[in-house]
Amino acid sequence: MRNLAHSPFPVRRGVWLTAFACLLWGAPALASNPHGAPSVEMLREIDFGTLALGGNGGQITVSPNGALSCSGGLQCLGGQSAGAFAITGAKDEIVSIIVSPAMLDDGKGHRLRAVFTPSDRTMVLRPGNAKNPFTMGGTLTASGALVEGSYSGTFDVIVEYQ
Amino acid sequence: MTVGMFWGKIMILLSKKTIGAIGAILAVATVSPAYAAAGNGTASVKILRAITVTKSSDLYFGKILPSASASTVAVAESGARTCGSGLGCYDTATSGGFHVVGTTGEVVSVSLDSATATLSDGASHSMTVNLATSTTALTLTGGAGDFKVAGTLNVGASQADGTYTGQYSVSVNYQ
Repeated sequence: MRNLAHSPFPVRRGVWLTAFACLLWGAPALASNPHGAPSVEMLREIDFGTLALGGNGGQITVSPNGALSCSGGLQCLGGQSAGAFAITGAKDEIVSIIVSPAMLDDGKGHRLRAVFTPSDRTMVLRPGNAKNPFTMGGTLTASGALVEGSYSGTFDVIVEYQ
Repeated sequence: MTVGMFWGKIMILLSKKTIGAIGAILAVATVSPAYAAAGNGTASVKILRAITVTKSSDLYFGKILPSASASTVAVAESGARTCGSGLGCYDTATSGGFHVVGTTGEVVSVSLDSATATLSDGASHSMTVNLATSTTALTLTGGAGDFKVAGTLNVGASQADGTYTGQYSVSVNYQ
């Protein structure tokens, strides 16, 4: 120890070697470690059902539990369902759920903005490879000038370990 | 003091085995950072155009000559009129008609808001009409459809002369 105290360089070299070894040990662990990235999959799409335009438009909302509400001059005609998703990841990890908005279109150049509301903003993952489910609601804003048609679109769901 | 010197002073107190243990801890720390993954969701909605309903014809019973006893005048959806006993009926009657516009191919429900309507001469005299339609649902072929409304007018005994008018309303909704 006395020699070490007067010769710090071998010790420093040992630290860097250890750190390097850490990287070597750590790298292959990423591939097989259950602590790898979580995954999210869609089990059921969000369906706002059918709505009839009227007046100056309004908003249609499907809650994460599937309840439907319309405002303004819109008439909700039903047929809605909340979306369903599942996260798979390492047990006991806390994940945050982030959802992007979407522009739905009818394939003819007409667009409709949608924002989404997950049932959970964060979630503690259960053990094993169990799918951790959550649901997704959303809100559409329709102007009175919107054109009739079938609209659809995609959005991103990001899950991240906290 | 540089960082290197700081590390040097700390490390002299540790054996190589201890350094190895620190390495293992660092390795675990290295493989459990925050990870994220993205997936796609899809959303869909079907938008129907607003329904418009316009009256295409009035329910018109024609000109009626009352009698000393009450009776009825019926106008079918076809426009055919049945003049009650003792009454005189003139002019050409018409059934009520409505034109519906909406999204092509959609089915709409049709209903009368009330089964009766009251006609008044603007004074104190009135008559009631029983309304009916055989149309309960309508397919908007080509984005439009039509339906008729029949009526039976209840004419009182020695009904006062005059021009009697009234209103009724219908409801049309997507199903």
